[in-house]
Amino acid sequence: MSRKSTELLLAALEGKRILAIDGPNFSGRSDLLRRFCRVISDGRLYLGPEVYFALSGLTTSVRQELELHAGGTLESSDCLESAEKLELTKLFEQHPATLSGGEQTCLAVLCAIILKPKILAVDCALEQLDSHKLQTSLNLLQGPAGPTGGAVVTDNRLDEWDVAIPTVAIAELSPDPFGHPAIPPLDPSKVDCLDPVRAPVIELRNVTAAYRRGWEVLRGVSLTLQPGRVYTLQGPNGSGKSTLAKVLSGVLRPTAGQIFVNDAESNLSKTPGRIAGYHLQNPDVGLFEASVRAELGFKSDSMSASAVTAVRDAFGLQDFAASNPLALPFPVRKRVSLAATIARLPPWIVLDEPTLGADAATVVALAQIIQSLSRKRHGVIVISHSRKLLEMLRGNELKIENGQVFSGN
Amino acid sequence: MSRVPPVARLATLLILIVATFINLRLQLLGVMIAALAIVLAADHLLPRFLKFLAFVQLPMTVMLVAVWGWVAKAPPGMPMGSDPRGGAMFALLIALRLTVLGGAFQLVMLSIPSRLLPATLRGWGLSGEGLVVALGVFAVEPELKLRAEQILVARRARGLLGGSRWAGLKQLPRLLRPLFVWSIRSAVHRAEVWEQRAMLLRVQRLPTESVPFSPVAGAVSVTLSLVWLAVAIAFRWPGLLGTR
Repeated sequence: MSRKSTELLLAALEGKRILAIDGPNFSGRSDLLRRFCRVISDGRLYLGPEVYFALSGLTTSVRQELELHAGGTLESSDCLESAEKLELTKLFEQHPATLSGGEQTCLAVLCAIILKPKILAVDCALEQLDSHKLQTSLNLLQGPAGPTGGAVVTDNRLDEWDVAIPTVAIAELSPDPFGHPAIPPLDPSKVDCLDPVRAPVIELRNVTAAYRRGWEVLRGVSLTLQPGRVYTLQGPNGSGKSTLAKVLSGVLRPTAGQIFVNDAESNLSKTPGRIAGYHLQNPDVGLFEASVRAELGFKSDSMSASAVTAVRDAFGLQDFAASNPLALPFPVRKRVSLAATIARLPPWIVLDEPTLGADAATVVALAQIIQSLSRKRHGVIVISHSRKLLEMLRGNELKIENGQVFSGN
Repeated sequence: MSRVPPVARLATLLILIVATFINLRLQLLGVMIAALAIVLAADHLLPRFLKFLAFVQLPMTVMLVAVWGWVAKAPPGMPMGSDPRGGAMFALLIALRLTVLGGAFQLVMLSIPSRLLPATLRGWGLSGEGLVVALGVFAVEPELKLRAEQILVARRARGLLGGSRWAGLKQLPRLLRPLFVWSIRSAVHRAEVWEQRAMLLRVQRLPTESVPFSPVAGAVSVTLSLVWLAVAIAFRWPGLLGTR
């Protein structure tokens, strides 16, 4: 990435409140923004997709995190209104680390804005936001409270945004080819060789779930999930999507209600991840091993080597077998985490924001993989804010709001 | 305790530490533990103290008693095997002192409301890097706990771990590696973030306005700890306070 690229970026941003850089994964967008913001004295600030690392780690409440960045009380600063717009005021007493992915993003964006950088570079961080919070964040970035010299954003959902913003292609900013090793694309056809499974019917009756007493995230959810289908679960940030995924996978035990598996009452929390495997939104949490090979389960006797190979190849990870998963770029880490969940071939697969950091081509391929899995009689539940993915899947729509699940079809 | 001013809070802790080390009587230490438990309960910190007793203090006490009462069979400075009861009593004294210190530390440190933490730490004279480190220490425990939970959730989500607590305990070694890696990664990323956002300067400016510290609460806290110190001195050196 040459110095010329950053100069070209500055020229493209000239006179604009916001500028988007369009380009596929591994085209050098992130490296350009990181390099661009490395010059601290120029008042440029970088916010990457790993928003949890952008929080200070020095505070024990959302309010304190904002005050730390504001350098004073919220009441005396002008960010209280912005916090209200991003629905952060109700979370003021919560520890920043306990927020959902979308809520953490809102906090990280607001903290970055409060710092009043000259230029703020937001690298794929907005992908975790629902449409309302995305719009609010964009308004804040472009508004009077936003960075004085403008904001530069990269996002894989640019074409889904309701508002058109000036966009420049990465190729225009980075004429020199980017020196990253070629990353193979996803290959959905590899999934076709997997054996069909016999996924059970899962039924939830009046299921309630809470993380602590009196703080119910799911309230009396009743729902029947048929195998061999794709379900899409949509809802605002913090509405309980991930909590429902945890209940279905047996990771979180409901505080009330019953779960039936093929008409027999079942306690999924006794065998978590066996009936429904759950891919977490944050890939870094779910990577444990020192190599991609071990992460995918090649060491495990209980897994079919041919199935693991098929899934590995479907996700284009054949060249990364010996790599440390955490040393890979974010989109590849996400692939490893997805593949590790699917390679165990659980009858039901719950995918939480599988398209985070994924470009348009990857989203298309991912949709094909999901459809292939459903043809193999897996039940698949997809939690996503990506309209493109949801439209391609055409799954049975489930909507969640205030802890209640509704059928959207 | 939440309204005790920073200096009184620190003084209370220091007096409690000194008094505890002066004390040689097991019964007195027992009384102190009971008193601490009452104050901790009033501050809603008793569950944490009980956890500390069950998971840290109890195993340590068993180990200490085993080493001094059963293996060495004598307190320090005595020939091995000469006084098993003395060895066990020495181990109990150490264990009870540590329990009091643990309780005192929890009472003084954990009762600081997060809102008053920066003001309290600054009241102790911390600034710059020292303040950042101290704030980080307070923030890291809940975050580490949360990360540990997330790793267990992720392992369960992949079907790599049963749902029982025992299964979770068995996975402890597998938990440590990702937790360690996460700590390193987060330290590296945060170091960048702190530098880029000038956190050292910002921490100094954390708000202190309208901090509801109460001098009366401070006086009560220091007085009670002084009473405990006086009792400890009276029992250790009976002539010193005219109590012989």
